[in-house]
Amino acid sequence: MNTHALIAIVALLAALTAGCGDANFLVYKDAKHFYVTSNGETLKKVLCESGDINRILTDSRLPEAMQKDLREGICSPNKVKDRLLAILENMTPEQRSALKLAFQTNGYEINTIANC
Amino acid sequence: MKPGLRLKIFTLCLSIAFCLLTGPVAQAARINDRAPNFTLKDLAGHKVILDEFRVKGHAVILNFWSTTCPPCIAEMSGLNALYRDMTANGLIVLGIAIDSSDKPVRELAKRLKIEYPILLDSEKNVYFDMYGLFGQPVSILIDRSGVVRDKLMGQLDWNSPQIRAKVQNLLRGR
Repeated sequence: MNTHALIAIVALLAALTAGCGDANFLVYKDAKHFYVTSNGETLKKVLCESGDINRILTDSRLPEAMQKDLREGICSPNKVKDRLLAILENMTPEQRSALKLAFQTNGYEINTIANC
Repeated sequence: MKPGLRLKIFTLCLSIAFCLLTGPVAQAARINDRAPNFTLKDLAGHKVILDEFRVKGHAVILNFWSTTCPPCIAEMSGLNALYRDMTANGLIVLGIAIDSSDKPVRELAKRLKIEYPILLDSEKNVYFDMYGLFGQPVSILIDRSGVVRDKLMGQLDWNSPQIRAKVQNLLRGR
């Protein structure tokens, strides 16, 4: 099975489980897709407990207060999806660019598949 | 006039001029805000500048998609039909592919016989950095004056009466 077919199947499964009409922020690393806004175990293990989120935020060189908000918004058990998306939307293009590059530098890709 | 007052007035005028010239810093594509301008290349390698459509008075639909997104692919034929029907009335559709490679984009656009321009945003500089978008497909409706009028998430039936009416309003809205 070629890579595109595999990704399409994963995308379809993600679409079926995620529901439509909803903005979200999806990341991909080591064949694992997950929503940055989720409370799932994959996010907890891959992004938070591994220390990746700290490396990503340090590499992003975003202002300290913004790094703190993002860390809490992504890894806190009491996270609120809309609040996290609002933080991302309120960042300047340069800040989002820095965050994207920091994710990529640490082996992540963003929004590679459908979330609807 | 006292020199101190003159300096204050000069500084104030300079500040106002700076604000007027630079405008507000765009954070993301927001409804009722000016659509952030961008330049991307189409599949033929030609540069496409969003602002040029505003200057010509076109309404624009930006449709962000990728070849790994089944709902994106599913809505493209309908979007193509809408473009075909309404391009004479001033509608431009720009399909913005966020795939990291252009080969599958070319193949799909050819297979589906897409007539509207397909632009390449492989680094997601427009999609993520400039427009602050999450998820696919997502479409941004821009009126003839370059203002974002709607942000539509998910797969749409572009030929439904509701969506057609929305686009008609967009075209009438200058």
